[in-house]
Amino acid sequence: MDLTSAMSCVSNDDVKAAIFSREILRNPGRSLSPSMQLLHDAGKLCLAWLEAATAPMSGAYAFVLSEHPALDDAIDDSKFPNLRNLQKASVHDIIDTRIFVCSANLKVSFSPEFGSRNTSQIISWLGANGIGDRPTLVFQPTEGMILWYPDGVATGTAINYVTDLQKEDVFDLEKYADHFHEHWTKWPTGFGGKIWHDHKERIVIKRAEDCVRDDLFVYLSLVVYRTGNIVRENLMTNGRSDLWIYSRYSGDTAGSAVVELKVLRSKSFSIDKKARTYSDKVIEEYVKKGIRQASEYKASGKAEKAFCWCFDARAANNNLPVHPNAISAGVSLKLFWMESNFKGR
Amino acid sequence: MVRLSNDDLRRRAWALFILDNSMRMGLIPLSKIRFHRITYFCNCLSGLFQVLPLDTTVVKYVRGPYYPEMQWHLDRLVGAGLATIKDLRYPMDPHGTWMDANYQITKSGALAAEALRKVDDFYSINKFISDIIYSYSAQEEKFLDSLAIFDSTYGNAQKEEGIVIDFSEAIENLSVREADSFEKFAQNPNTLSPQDRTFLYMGYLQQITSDAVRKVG
Repeated sequence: MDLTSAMSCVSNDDVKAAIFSREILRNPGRSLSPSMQLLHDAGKLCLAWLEAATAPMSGAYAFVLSEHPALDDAIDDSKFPNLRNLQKASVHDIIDTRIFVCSANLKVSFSPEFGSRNTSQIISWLGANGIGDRPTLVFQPTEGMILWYPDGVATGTAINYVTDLQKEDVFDLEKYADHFHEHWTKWPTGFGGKIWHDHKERIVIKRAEDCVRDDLFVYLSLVVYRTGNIVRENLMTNGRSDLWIYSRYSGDTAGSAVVELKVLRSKSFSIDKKARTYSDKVIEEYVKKGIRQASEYKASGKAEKAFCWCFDARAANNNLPVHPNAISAGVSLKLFWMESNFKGR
Repeated sequence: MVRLSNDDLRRRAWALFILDNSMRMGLIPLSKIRFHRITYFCNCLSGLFQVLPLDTTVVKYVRGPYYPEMQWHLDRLVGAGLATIKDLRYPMDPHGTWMDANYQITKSGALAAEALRKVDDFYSINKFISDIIYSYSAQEEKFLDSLAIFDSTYGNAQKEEGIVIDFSEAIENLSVREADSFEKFAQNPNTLSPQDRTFLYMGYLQQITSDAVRKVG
């Protein structure tokens, strides 16, 4: 039998059904920024290790992002002799390896000869070897804890993903939105601080909404890990919703929620200084458009709840008379003021 | 100074983005064969992402898809110092001797790719190439070079070797149709993004490749 006829023997639908159920539920993390992808993929791998471990896993594991492994000066062959592909690595493959400097998709990972399992010693080692400022995920299996350092372990600022939030009600989304805002978008030093182009001038980057959407996506997908599913840019019959949260990915839409995201700005970002300015009246219409979109997506997708979350980077925190619209449309509206200075933190 | 035509500029940007994203996704180094495999997938699956392909035809060749123009641009990247070539080799197989080599992006190449990404049009091209390479690189290493051979359009048993495969008409692009066919497993087909479809399709290609290899023994 040659390869072509062997190929035609395969029952395509059975293969596809198996792939669909295996992959789609477990891999919603495509097309993210590298640091978010590392958080998502490494987080997923750690939880799979935890599930598969026959004996208690002790100590800590660190995953450090190498955005461009081929050009990474920190990866010195003599210092990082162990090369692996972690994409499908089992817990048995990684015995005694504690530090992984890896591509965002875990396809290549370099590890040093490093004996300690102790978290603080691992963190010290990363700092001493010039990679303490990179996005890093630290996994502590005994505590079931994933610590995420978006700006590296040297900053000491981490968020604990799993233990704080995992077993909460998936659809208590507003509580999560507050938590997200507090840590990501409220302060310029927050994890989502990259959405500012110039926080003092209150100018956000061009694709600020995409950034917020992706950050929120990873945040929520680890929070609701295995209890629900989240889709970005979900194609509806009447447009694309920013986030769609399913109670079951392939099941009915009862219990689903739609989230429409808006970043409000008084001035657009422009390289050539010909920035556009937006009055509060225009912004008010923009928010109302978001409310309308959320309401329409809720209706067309038969969702249970609709949320419109606006991250407010306007020049001044003036009142926007938009809440009556939200109430009448059955949309839960929240405006999150983004601070432009560090005072009060 | 030679001015590049728009088509040449686009091709060179694609070559640079393929190289850059492959390195970022851990496909290090990138062999010539693999570069053309990825180029093929980018052309063939571009319809999923609403991106115009560079080429809608490819010759069904014994060693898999090959794009002479893209090869020229890849080599120009080397000439311009944006990529390096090494491990030049001349493997022999039952079909004769051929040439392979490994390519790697340089720091200048990565900076050039970074600068290009800031231009709106190139941003979306880079994004879609990155999505395709992400899905491609997620498959097992031992199957990566075979996936394009088993691709539904390229591997179509009705097309003989040496023939020009033309997928300019949507109906002829079996790969996109296969990728779209995953819709039937989702109760709400709208939930499948182009990235999802690509990822599922690559997983499917890996599965049929491994099944076929196993059957041949």
